[in-house]
Amino acid sequence: MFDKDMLKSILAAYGPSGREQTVSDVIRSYVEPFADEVYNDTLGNLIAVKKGTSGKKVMLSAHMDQIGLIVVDIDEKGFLRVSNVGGVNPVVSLAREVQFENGTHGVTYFETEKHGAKDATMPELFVDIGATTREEAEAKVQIGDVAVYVTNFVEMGSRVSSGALDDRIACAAVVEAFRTMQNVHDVYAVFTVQEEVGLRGAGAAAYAIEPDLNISLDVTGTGDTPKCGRMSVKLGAGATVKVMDSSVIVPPVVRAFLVEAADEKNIRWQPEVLRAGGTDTGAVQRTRGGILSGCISIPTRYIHSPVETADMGDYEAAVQLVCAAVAKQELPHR
Amino acid sequence: MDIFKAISDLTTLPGVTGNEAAVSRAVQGYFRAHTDDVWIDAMGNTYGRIGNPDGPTLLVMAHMDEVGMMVTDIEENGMLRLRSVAGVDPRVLPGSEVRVFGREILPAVVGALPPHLQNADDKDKAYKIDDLVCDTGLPVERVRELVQVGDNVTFAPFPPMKLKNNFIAGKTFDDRACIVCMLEAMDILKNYKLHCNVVFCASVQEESAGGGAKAGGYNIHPAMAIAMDVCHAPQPGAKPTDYVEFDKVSVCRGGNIHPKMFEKIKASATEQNLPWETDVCIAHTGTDAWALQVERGGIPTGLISLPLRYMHTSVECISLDTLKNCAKVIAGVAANIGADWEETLCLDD
Amino acid sequence: MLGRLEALCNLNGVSGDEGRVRRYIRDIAKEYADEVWVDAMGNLYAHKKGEGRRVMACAHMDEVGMIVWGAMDNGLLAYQAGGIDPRVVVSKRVVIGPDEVPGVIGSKAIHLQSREEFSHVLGHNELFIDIGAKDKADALKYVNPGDYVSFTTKWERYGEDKMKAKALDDRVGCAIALELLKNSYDCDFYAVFTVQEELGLRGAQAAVYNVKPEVALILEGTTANDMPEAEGHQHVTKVGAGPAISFMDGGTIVRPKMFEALKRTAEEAGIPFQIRQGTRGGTDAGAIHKALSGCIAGGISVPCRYIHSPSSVASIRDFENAYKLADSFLKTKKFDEVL
Repeated sequence: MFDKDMLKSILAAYGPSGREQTVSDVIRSYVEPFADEVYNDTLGNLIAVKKGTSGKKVMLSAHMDQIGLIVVDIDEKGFLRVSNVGGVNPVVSLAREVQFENGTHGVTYFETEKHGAKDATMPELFVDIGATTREEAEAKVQIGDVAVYVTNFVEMGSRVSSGALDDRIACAAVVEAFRTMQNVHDVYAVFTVQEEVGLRGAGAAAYAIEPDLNISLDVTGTGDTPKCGRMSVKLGAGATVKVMDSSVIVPPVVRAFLVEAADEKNIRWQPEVLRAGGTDTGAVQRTRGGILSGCISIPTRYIHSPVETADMGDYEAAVQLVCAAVAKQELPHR
Repeated sequence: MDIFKAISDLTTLPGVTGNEAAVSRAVQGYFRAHTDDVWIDAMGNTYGRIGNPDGPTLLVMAHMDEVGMMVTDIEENGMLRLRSVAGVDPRVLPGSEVRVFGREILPAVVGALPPHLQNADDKDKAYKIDDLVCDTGLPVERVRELVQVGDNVTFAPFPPMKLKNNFIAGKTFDDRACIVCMLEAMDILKNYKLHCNVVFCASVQEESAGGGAKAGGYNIHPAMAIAMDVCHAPQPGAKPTDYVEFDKVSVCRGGNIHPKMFEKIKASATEQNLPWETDVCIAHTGTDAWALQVERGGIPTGLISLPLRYMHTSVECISLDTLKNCAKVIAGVAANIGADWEETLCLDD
Repeated sequence: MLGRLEALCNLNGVSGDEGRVRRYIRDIAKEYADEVWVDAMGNLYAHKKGEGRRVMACAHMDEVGMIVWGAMDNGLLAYQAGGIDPRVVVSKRVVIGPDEVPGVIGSKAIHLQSREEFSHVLGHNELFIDIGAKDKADALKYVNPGDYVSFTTKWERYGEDKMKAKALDDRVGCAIALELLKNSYDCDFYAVFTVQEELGLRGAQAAVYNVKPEVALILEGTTANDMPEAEGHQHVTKVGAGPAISFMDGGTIVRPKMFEALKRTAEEAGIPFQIRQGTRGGTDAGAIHKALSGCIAGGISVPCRYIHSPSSVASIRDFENAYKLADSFLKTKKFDEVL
């Protein structure tokens, strides 16, 4: 059984791209008791190290940041104008409750003069925090502050729904694996920053660590909802072993390594070809002279919405697969 | 060297971007004919080194990956759904013979709904990849045993066709023809005592921007580099500025190119009386040169291209004479590198 | 500083062809720096050795422009453009190549255009440079494919507190970084003048490897959209409202400590400033902050109207205050507070 309280607290922690300190502190509190060393690097990546015996280094990476709305202007009536941080869909972002780092709450809406909600664009979006003047608003929020969706943790049998499952569910999976794994290699669990704005944190961490193998954990889309885009991945069919996404083609030797680890322990897995969207996997692969890099994903519906939905069976499969991989003596090589 | 045989060997091997191992093995074999110094790196880039190991390093790079397809789903009736892996035009696929690289290599064809069953509006529309299926002719149970989501699909590896005037047509000349060009340059250079160290690299993942060239630049940290790729030759619908004449070696100039590397390449062609043409590109050349230029604090980078028609199809077309000239230009650049190499790279402000 | 800005703006230095600008800066930087050198890409480094943090001030030398693609049979030149809206090039004077061959970009006379053609935007592929050549062979006597093309606008003071010029983006940054070199700061200081920023932060990718900074201050010319139609949240910056401090651009989210330190610097020194209220547009910060194992990068910008056009407009006071802000940041050792 998974640690539901931990998952809920990691999901609830504030942490849009570039403002990850709060979520970093929450995750740190869970990994610190099990780590030989924990630190934040210059960009804010949180790195927890657990020593092994082989002299080899395995990096596990999951990104802490979530998408958000950054304040670019406050008008004389106290409305906040925002721009997206990461892949925010303006239509999904309107009529939402949002929250700032200091606890200020607000709601989003859009300029209704020209058209209906389905055509709303980001510059037409605004946040109402209940202020009636610029001064009143500025007392609570500054230009450059970032809001995130306020969401609920909804349990639906084996499935859960929440905002920020992308990628906090994978952060929780890495923490869970980190607690229980029997690692033969040095394991660097890296909770990365700024993935949503273009994979900006992971490469810097990998540059410093120089791992022999990186395994990223992220969420991936599915093709199992009514009339959706074609994709073979299904919720509840196991963790995925990534073949490719727009940032990476996983080296066949790394895929084979992960598949073997899964099959040896009878862990349910499915192959994943993600059509659009990149992951830290690619950024790490392109670091220095090339780093072998693969990815395990947790299938997730409705990504980048406040109701991202995943199956906890897939989550547990991902945890087991990470544990199985870091326990293998022989790492993949060319 | 038997150039036609080398092209046949290399272009009939599968090497969809990110999955170049089979081509790498063949290239290693060809490199070994010239040197014992052959190795690969973590990305799969494949290297062969010749010349003076204590001299400045010239890195010559051509990519060995190819555009191709990948299985994304298996339908109830056993037909496969595909996606392009880097740049296959879905319009060239219907009616194509392909190979599916599953547990076994399966012959297959790409099909679409026949025109007489389409309504009038759809007939004029180009096929998108989602309109197409890949048919192995096998029952679904057998397909599920043999094929998995993520398996590569390539054009059928027919050997090249000889056309008139020493032209040849085939698949994957982009960029294996330039690998052969490197081999030919190695062959020429065996008669030279070189001041420089030359590392030839068959790079990976050029078509997918997956960082093969970046890793190659980082790992070799050369004094200078030349990327070799194909460019467009005259073809239907192209403007004069879009292409380089078939019989000319294309020498690139623009932001991606170190001005002195342009000069070196130009000098080599001119000295040997080989026809060449400036190909201008203000910024991204869409080649390995782009990643090489900024690696390791900056690498003086040049670009030589072989004119080619019908890029990214199964009937790419090149002139073998021009291929040989490209090799001579490369060899000339390497042979001309002397003790004064550093000064020759100084920008004149 | 203003005199040098004038000289810098009047020099031609399209991305990939920054030699003239580099030579000008190098000659001045040599007087103040301990060492000055140029790397393989053409980035220029001026190093003032010191103890403590490795801090880099960074400005790009290149400007937007064009390159000769080839000559047509009628002697007109086809060109490629980088980062220029084709709507601003028609009816402009240009100079081409190392010898600065004069030319103009023309279009079909308005009398010969049909009603439909009036609303059609001419693309770069429909526009040509005319150097007066009789035919293709004649044209190729004067220019080569691959020669760079610049606008001929001269720097000028005008209006109240305003200047107009080409290439304010980013010769303002170059002039400020040069001025900073005259001072001594309590750090290991590099002024870095990068190439090819406009082509995708190309020079900076190499420069960061050669300097390995801990803190980087990017000095830029940035978009001012203080147009009559624009509402508050669309301005990005306003000309005359002070240098702009960035919290985010298209390639960077500035670390909160850095953003705060820059604001605090301005407040403590009594320098007027504005927040850059846009999140798009790239600067060298995007390449620098995430390179190697990461560093802290922040930006100070001079607002420029009509940026990337042959004539952009900025405030002289904004420019001077941008220098003061950068100088105060370094003088008060704010770089020690941001890591």
